[in-house]
Amino acid sequence: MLGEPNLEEEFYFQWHLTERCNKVCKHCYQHGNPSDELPLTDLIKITDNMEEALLKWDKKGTISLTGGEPFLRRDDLHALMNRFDDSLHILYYDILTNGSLISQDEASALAAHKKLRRIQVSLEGAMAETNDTVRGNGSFEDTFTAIRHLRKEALAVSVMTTLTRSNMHEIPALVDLLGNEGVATFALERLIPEGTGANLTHDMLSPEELKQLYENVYQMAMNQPPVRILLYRPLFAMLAPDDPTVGALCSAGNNALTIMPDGTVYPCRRLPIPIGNVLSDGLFKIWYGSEVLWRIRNPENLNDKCRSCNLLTQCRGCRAMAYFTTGNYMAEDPQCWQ
Amino acid sequence: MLAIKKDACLALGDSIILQAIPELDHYYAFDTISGDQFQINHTAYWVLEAIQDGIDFQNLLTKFASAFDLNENEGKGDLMEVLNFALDNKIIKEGKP
Repeated sequence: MLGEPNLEEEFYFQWHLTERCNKVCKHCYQHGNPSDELPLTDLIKITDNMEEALLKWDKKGTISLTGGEPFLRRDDLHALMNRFDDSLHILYYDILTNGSLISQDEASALAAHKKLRRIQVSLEGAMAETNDTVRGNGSFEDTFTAIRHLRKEALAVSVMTTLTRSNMHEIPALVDLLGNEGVATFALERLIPEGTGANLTHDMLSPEELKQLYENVYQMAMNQPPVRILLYRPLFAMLAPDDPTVGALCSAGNNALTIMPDGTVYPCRRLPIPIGNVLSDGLFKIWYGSEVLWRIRNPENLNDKCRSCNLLTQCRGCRAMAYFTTGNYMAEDPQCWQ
Repeated sequence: MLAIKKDACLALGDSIILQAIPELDHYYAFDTISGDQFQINHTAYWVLEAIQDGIDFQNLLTKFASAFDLNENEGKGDLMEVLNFALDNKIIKEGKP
């Protein structure tokens, strides 16, 4: 079992190997536009740079490999995982995928990687119709097929759901369903109106709706369901300010970076403001020099409710949500109910 | 202790950048090549920022003593402590006058 580092020890990279995808999900935070992709030799150079930074910062690296659909670069994906498996500074990595390309043979190949912690797939509801309206016909069944292939190899599976008005009432049923399938963890993300999903503002939850849903989710999590519900996201802290497992500071500027297929670096994938290129600038110059990151790091730069909040050390809202609803990434989180 | 001539011209190292969050009293010098990071105090930051702006040693000494309300001897002692730390760690370098 791969141990979880505490936040002080961890530095997280979300690494998008490609923008190409074999699905066209309605709420995707990406545009689906083609993008330059780096060859494997450059991916290895980036890994070298990551390790150099992790060593200097005395951090353990955790990585999510994703896309687009990362299995569209299957050979490079496995080569990179082989490199990570041998790393002294990378603790573990996950793969974020739509699952459609995971056959039983693929699951078997994945099981050979010693630092692969979890494979995350996405579901948008407990019913096929709800899911497939967003992710395309047949994707509900495809996802469960992938989950079963992975579970047969004893691989840990995580499921992520993007919360909307269309699926908020199916969350309890989904938790039950995932428990029955042997899914290890369940993560919930809020719909951010960006990328392909920019026009879905009508499907975003109001602060009151989100509060109600988060309270229900928190109660479910406290009842210890078979699937572990992950609560370390901004705003959850309002429900249990004294519980360190509930809520988390936004990691942007704090202990995370996103790397895009051409090496461009963002503070977070949902906050797509370029702050450098990992190949031409290197991680040190980006992490130490980015004005955007320094603006985010200073809580005095937060606006309105977030600035005066008594949970400033535990929450600070989602900067991407602020950015795509107001144009200002330091604005208050518009879904905060406080 | 390193000797610094009165007409010395000081400069930040080529790969050094300074950052500050004054509201939190957080001040830093970073080396973007080696990755070294130094959390420094406000006084050291003031000195490094002045060097970044191109001040010569004599003017730095005068302005330092004035800014921190010190006599020249006290000011020189404190300033040399900062400069020696910065030179030792390659945060600054001596250039040509």
